[in-house]
Amino acid sequence: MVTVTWKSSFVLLALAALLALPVATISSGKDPGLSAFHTRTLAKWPALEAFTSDPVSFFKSAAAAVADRVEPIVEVTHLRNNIFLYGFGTAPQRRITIGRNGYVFLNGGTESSINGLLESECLQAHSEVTEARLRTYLPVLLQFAARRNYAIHFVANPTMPTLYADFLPDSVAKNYREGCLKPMREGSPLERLADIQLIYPFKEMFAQRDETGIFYPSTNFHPSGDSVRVVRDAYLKFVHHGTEFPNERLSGISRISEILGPLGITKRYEQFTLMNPDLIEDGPASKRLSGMLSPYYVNPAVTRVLTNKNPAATGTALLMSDSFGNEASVAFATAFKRLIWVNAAYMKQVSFPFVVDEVEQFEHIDSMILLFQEGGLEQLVGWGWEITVLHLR
Amino acid sequence: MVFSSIDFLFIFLPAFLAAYAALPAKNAAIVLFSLAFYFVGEGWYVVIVLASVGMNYGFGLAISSRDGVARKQFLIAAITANLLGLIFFKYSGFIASLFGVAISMHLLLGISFFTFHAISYLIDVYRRDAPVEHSLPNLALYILMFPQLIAGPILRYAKIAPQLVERSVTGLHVYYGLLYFFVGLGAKVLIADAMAGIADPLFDRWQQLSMIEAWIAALSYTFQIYFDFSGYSAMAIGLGLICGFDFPQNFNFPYVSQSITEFWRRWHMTLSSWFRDYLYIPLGGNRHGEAKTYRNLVTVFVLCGLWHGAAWTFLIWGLYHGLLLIVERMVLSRVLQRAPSVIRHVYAMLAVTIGWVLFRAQSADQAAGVLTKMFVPDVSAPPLAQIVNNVEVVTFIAAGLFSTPVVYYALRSWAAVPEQRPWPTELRLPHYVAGLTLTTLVFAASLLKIYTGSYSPFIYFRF
Repeated sequence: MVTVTWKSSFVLLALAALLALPVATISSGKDPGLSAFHTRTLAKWPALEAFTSDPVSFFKSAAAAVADRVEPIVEVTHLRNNIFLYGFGTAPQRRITIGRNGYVFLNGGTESSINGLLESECLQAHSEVTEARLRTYLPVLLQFAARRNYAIHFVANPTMPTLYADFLPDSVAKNYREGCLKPMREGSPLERLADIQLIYPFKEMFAQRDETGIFYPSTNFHPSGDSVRVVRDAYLKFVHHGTEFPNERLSGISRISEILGPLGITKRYEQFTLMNPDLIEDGPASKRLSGMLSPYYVNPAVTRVLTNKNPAATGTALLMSDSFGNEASVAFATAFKRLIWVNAAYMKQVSFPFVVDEVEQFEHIDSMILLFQEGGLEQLVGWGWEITVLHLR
Repeated sequence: MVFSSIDFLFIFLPAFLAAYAALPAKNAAIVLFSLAFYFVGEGWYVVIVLASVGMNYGFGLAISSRDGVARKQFLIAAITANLLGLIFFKYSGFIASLFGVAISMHLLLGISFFTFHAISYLIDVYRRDAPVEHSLPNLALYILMFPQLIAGPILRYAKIAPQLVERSVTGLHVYYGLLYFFVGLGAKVLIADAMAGIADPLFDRWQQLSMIEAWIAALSYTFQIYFDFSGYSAMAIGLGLICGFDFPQNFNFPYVSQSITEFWRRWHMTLSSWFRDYLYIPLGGNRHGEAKTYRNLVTVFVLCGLWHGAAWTFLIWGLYHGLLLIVERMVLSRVLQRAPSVIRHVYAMLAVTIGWVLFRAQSADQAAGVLTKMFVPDVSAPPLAQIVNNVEVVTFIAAGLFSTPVVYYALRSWAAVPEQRPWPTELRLPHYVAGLTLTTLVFAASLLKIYTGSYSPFIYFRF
């Protein structure tokens, strides 16, 4: 005889109801928000047919789908992240490093590659191998542009891990710290590539860096503020262009950290953006160009067409870049009559020459700037290789 | 489906609790949920487990209905059949590899545990320590009960048999059951998983380890395996209590031991006692002179090692412990008795930690490599911050504290803590409130980790 007292039964039923709540309250309407929270596609609910063929896989898929959506996953994760940061002084994820003087570094793009960014920004970018590859393929791009009768320049944008390498803590492995310190201590092989039109303005940036956030936001991965102007000016000096833009100014605003914000850490930091009232975004043109380029993209193409009201400005430039171009496009547009920014992120392979063709059909261009973060220069190698195999040089 | 997973905690467990509270057929509810539990993890392999139950049911009846030689012959046949199943699913690949043949066999979840349960049943019936089970569902309940199905503790049939037919669930059962379950969950999720996050990457790059990293790897695994397994055992005991069962304790602060002999009285006690009663004593135990005692010890511990896994490292680990017990028996225990207790503790922990390196290593080379790194000084030690973050340092300290009874005894004076029956009668309401509050806090902290999908391997699943 198995007896369960009524009190025990009541407690068990109440506990069952409580424990079931996180799953019982899952709502499919929240999927888009949760997808953004996880920064990936959510695990799909398994089809019922899968149950008969492979029940174990069916249950695993169902468990993964539940785990992605269990309530309240966002709030609980954010609470945990805050406890890690403020309770223990520990980064909420291993791909994030809390550096000295309040600087926050993104050392990896994902938790499965926790030092992937340090690897590319600090080790690969400043290696002899990268130098040799750029020396092979940048001339291909130079020829490509020359055949089209315009100039092309390459800008390698220094990033926080090298600019503030001395703020990296001991928790970062020695090889990465040493690699990040290399441009500061002994220079980078990238600086030797000026003869093939590559500009690596590390020295200019390091000379002007500060810790106020005006130069580079202390908790963001992407640069903004005065550092963007320094990069632009380095380019302009390289092409013997003036760097005086009286209407340009820096505007400060209190924002959450680009790195910590998505993790639910909502402390606000003063961040600065380069502004120029002479610039007007040509919305319809941007939209039309994005539509023209969409066949070459995995995700919707991101473009921006900016017109400069300053009567002294001349020429049209095409700026192709990674996400660093988001801020840089405004800075560079100040120097031209018109600037077309094409974000190369999510561009399909073997698309570069066709995208350039489309932009040329869209509007005449006088010069081209390819701007990438220092760890993203392999993209230029890839484009050079595409042109080589397509015999387009 | 591990107990610390979202699908178990928020789907399976509430469904089971509701069914157990509401349905009149309590045993049937446990059996059905146990089959579902196994089906979720192993699919149609559940048929093999059911066949094992059926086979052992038949053998039990056959043994009980016979006497003398025939009784013994049926027992031998029954044990052989169970061991053949275990060997087929768990060791055929290892055995084939000895002959240079590669075989990949699916390792049935919990096979080591349900085989040992079945053997316990058969031997207890043979010895007339317990009556034969005439109810097939009750035997299925004993062998398949999901709280202990995949990771123990190993229940002895003679002790659990009366509870299969008569038991009660009171408020105290539920209270202490929840305490055990959530404290076990905390041990697993908050300590063991954090330790795994340190140990696993270090063992993965064992060839590059410095001396300090090798020690951190060994110590973090030492804590991981203890809190992983003892946490899981506590969860099983808690679930058992909620169902009205008294499962035996499996751990008794093994890391406070002062010798390896004492360690085995405190570590995985249900396995140790199983081997003692069903193998060591039948082999002669210590009754036939020193030489045979040593032979029996080595036999038992080599088999104990192999029970944990079909690999040379497990065999070496078992042999290592067997040899340590012999050395202690021969001379060391007398030396230790004269040594200060701190020396005895250091010796025991050192011996245990070395053993865990053997146990954790993927190969003998890796084990030798990590052990060499531990004992050969080097100059290239990375900063501690590079190996462990602040949360992990705090977890290390907590692991050290909770490995001893200090916190347990400190809490006991003002809060109800997990206890075996008979439960203390002197406790008042504030003790229960304090116990429940602490448990709720541990559960909440565990949820923070469970929700974020943190790294959560479970070591004893593969046994």
